[in-house]
Amino acid sequence: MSLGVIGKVARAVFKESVRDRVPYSLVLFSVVLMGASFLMSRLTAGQDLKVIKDLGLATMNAIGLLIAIFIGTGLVSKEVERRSIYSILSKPLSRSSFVVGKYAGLVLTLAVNLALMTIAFYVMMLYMTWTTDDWIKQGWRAPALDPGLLLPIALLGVQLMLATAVALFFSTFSSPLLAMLLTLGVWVAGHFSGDLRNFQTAVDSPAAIALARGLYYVVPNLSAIDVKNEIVHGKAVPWQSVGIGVASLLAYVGALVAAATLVFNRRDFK
Amino acid sequence: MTVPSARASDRGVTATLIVLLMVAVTLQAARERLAPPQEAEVPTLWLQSPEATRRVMLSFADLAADVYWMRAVVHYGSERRSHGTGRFQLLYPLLDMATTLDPLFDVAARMGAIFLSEGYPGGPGRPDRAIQLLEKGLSQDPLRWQYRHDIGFVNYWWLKNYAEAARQFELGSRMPDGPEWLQTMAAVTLARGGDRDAARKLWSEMLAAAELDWMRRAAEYGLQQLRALDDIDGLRARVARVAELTGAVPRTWDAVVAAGLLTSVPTDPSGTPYVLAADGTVTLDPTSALNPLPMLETHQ
Repeated sequence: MSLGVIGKVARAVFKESVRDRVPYSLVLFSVVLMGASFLMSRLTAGQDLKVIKDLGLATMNAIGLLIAIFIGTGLVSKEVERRSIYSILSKPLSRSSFVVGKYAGLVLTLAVNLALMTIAFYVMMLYMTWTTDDWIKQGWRAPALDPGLLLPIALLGVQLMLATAVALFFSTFSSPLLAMLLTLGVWVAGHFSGDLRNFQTAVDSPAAIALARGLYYVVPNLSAIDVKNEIVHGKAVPWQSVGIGVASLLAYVGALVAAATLVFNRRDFK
Repeated sequence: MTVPSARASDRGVTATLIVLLMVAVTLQAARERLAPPQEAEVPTLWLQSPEATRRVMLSFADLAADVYWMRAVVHYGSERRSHGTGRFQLLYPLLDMATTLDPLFDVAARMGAIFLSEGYPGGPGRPDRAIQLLEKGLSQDPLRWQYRHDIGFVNYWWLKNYAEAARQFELGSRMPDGPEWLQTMAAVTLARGGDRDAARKLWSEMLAAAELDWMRRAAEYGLQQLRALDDIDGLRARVARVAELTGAVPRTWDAVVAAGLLTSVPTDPSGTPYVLAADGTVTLDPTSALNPLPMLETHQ
């Protein structure tokens, strides 16, 4: 595996996503944010800052997830469907470099998207700061231009890295539609994993409880690093738990990319 | 197809598109006039279980909480504006949903408690529900003394349970960051519960400690109601004095003005004139924003 080759594949994926008009999602994001701020300010009974923060973070989450799933699930399978895989593999690059490069390219696309959405988000926050009376600002738990907001955005980036790795893994051996459904399933399960831990409150069977507990440790726990709520309310973040959660998700990412490489290495394209 | 004929064809398709859209809109309007849609008599809460909704919303629960909060605000406002026909049926379920979806959304619990406590027709008159909502907030965020303060306040203002109000103020004062004035409030409430001066002190402290605009407005409203109670007492005394001087109960404010005991028709703090009944009783105008006034006596 060569870093130079991986970089070239990654750049190609990024350029393709730009050609596919992925950045237009940012325009949508900005329009939703700005439109919402004007529409909602009268309906929130003074909670417009919280609503705009929640809306901004949720929009980043939704758009990021859509990009990860829709592009990620087609990363490999599209090349196979278009039969362009034959010409790619005839070039001097290993299959592992191809898979890792594809992954790195989509992560780069997501990172650039997330960075631009963050800028749009902070511009909106700056507007809120300028247009709000000092008296109202005194009641804010956390300022509009809170640098702490970068933490849930960065953690969202980690979650999207995992979603991309899951999508890439399924993309190496299934159709885009099936890969999409499976990735979405893992995402949902990742937010439900807390319930698996407390399965004994719902059933009596020791076997079912043991199975649920086992699944709890196997399924990546996405809700463990979701700190949007704490940051928006100006509350302390459980750093230790979040740190371990991030490390665990990054380990999953590595494992999934390795698994995708293994599957792709064994595929026969003749 | 040649280029000019392709352009002509495009123009034809565009014209057809515009005409069909206009026809569709016209037909839609005609159907609306012929068979207007039935308005739902009872507004609907599609998702009934707050816990299940929280799970279904995955990482979007905070945003869903905001949506339910806005629905609660709109519901409360529209029912208030219905002038006596509103039933506020969805108010508690919507607030319950918002505070379950976002357990740290204390404004929804605290402001929601004010909405719920408000007597009919300004609100559903459910201080029990208000306390339920605040206790839920307290269980989710046990270090927020503001919840104790609000539970005490609902007990004081709406339930007239002064012993419980004092207990809650006392508990609040002992919490981390709990202000000292809560202890004073506990003492005042126990000693002189139900009197106007104690209530005035409570509202004034709330006004001074108000972090949010709605809290400031709620405190100002409470103080205006107390001022109206004082005004009514003063006006009754003047009416009685005119009756004493003239031997007849005055039927209009003009008679009191003519007797030199008032300079003009008196208005309440919201700017609405007070009502002088034929038997000499003085009340708020039914349209006054300060209705209904609390039942509080002056301290003897």
